[in-house]
Amino acid sequence: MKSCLIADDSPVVRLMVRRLLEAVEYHVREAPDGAQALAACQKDMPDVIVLDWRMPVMNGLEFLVRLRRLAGGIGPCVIVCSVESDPEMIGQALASGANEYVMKPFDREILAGKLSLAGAT
Amino acid sequence: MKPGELALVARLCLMRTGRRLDTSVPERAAARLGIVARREGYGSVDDLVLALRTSEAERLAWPVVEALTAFERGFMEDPQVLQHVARRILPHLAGVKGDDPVRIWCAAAGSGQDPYSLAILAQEAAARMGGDLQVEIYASDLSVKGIERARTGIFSHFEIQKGLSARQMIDHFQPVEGGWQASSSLRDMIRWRRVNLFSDTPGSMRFDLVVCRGILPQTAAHVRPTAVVNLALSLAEDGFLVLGRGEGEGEADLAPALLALPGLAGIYTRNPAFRTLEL
Repeated sequence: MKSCLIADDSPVVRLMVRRLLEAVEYHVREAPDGAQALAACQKDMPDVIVLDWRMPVMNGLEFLVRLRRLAGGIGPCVIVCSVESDPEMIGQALASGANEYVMKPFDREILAGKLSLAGAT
Repeated sequence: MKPGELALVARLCLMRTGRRLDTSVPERAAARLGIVARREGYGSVDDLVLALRTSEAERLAWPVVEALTAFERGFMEDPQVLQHVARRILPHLAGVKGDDPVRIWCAAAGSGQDPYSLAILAQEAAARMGGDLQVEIYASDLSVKGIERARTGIFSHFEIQKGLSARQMIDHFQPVEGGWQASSSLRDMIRWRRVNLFSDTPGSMRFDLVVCRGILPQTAAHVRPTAVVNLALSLAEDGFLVLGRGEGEGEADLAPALLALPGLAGIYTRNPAFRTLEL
């Protein structure tokens, strides 16, 4: 069973993504900010990370840069999910190590498609 | 919708386009007809269908048929086949064509995702080949309204995220009011026209690559051979036809005109014997 960490400060988004991933048999963990997400990765590196950009304590991009420096941190497939739709910011997320990017709001089909594009399914 | 109403619009689709309407989900047909009813000033779908039995029938027939037969697609559908097109067929055709452009016909282009996907793949292939690839895309659909919309190259927030990678999205589209718009270089690659595959005979133009997905499975058995022949006649002598996933498998109607390419599922060439028959 593949594992996924959902890092998002919105419980609603975490629940929506959890339902989608559990339906395709992922083991899911959650973190409400980047710092807790990083701690979760240090404990047990997931296969996939669905990552919000705007989060308290440590934002998504700062988390992403730190993640990629960890031992094994290159491994997870990271999909950044954000309300940001500026092409420059999307490019910045990809340059920082994101495998894919989803603009909020999104639906089940979009997230499933991005997981597939990122090679996570 | 009542069964009689559904049967009426299904018969209309069959007569005008040779396509069988999927009547298993009446709600889907009702939702599409609801849009037409509002646009044409009718209070309900029932009123619209009733008008199809009056002197208004001829004016309303095409808007109804176009709405019911429109395809809902994402970008880059059937990526394995498209990768064959991008990595093998386009470079091969570029070598064969020399200085002439590779001509692609995207039939049943719907709201435009297929032709724009092909344009993106062609630009990416050209970049890999050092710019040594010129491509012209001719996109057609039954729906005039669909073509008008597709020509703008604007896709909603949800549409743009279905099938394209984030990199492709920001490299080839820009955010505009109402969604994301294809770059002018993509739009300039595509020429649009209305074509009814079953009543419009192939013109004199021959294409190096024809992409026609989703049509044949919906086509009534008695008109399918005509559709296949029209597609084959539109191919250049060494051209390729791309069908949707699984659409040509076990399809006896393809055999006289088309041959499956070994090892490349969904991709066909003209049968040389068919070429002789045409002469």
